[in-house]
Amino acid sequence: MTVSLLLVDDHVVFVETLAAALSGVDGLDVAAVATTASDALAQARDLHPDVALVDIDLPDFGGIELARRMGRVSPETRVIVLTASEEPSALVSAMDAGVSGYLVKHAALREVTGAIREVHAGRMAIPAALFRKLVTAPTGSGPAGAVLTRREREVLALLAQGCDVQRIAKLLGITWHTARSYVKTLLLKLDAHSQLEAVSKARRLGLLDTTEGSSER
Amino acid sequence: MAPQRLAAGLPFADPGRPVSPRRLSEADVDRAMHASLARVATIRMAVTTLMDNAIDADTRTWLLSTAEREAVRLAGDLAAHRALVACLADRSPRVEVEIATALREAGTQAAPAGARLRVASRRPALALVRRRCLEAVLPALVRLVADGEGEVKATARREGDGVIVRLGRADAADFDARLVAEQLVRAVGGAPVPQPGGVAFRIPAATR
Repeated sequence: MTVSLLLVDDHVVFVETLAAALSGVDGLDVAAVATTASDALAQARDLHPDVALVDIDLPDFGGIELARRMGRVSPETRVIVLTASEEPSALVSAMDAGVSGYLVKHAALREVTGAIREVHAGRMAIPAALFRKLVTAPTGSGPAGAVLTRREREVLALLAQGCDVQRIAKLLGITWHTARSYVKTLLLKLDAHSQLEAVSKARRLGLLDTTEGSSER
Repeated sequence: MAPQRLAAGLPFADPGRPVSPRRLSEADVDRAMHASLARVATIRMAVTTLMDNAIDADTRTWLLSTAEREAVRLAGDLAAHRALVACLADRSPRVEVEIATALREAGTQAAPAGARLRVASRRPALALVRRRCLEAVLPALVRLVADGEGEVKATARREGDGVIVRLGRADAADFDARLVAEQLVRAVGGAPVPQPGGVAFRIPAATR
């Protein structure tokens, strides 16, 4: 199955090189190239590409905003952000905008093609080093600084499977009060107002294994 | 009428208006870095494609020439970054500098990198600038516009209370380093003015 691509970057030489590189890869088809966010949006509306690779810095409106708008005009298009920034806050903003992947701009061709295939298959694609930076960021507030203990991760995984506090306590062999305390800490660390929001944020941040939540308890 | 805009979205200065220079900011330096990182990304993409894929001869040649050209441009960018650092460090007061003479000196400085400069101004044009910053910026601009070994034509002309400096390719080739050049212009206290195929800016003229 061929994956259709939209490439968006205002550096013309870079985007032309990327297009030439990806055109030679089996199973990929460069459907369109754009150098501005508004042009990219129009292309997405017309072509509905499977995957869009989007630079974060664009001259009219930025790549994060483009990802957000693209979600409205072509919801089936998965967006991978290409950026020079390795700041966890940039990654969190991208996730909030609904992107499926995040790549540093100087990535090798195989990393780019790997990310395309991952997001096309419905998975997230984030470089391991960047992900590590995100979960070990020293700030204490907000999702960017979410550092979870092993036990908190276990509780989070059970929440993601739909378990309530009582069920979590029973499965982990802890008291109801202790389980409730873990849930409260998770809400605080993930800057979430409900258990559902905590699970949603954790999923967006890649804090949940994709296999978690599939098994019945 | 809406002001003309550069590709990067910065407004052009009106050549008839007084120049109000602002100091170079960290964001300006970041913008220049971002443009240079795109060159690194291009080179790596070209090289890893050449390594990883069975590609046809035409694409191989194109990728090789792109990588070579971007490496040359990256070297020019690095000279520009060095000039930006020199300007950030230069806290000296603004002094009168004759720009056509400074341009000729810049041509000499940029020559080892392959750039050739022809200064076409006949009359002296005195500007009020920080000298060390200007001496770092002009050779870097010449290199950027030369884009390797191209010939650059330069002029400096008094207009009202400003001096308009223009650097353009003699062969009207495309200019690919506008974003970095804009930061150099800012660094020297100038405001960009339109210049197809090159860079032009307005700096405050000396009063006499």
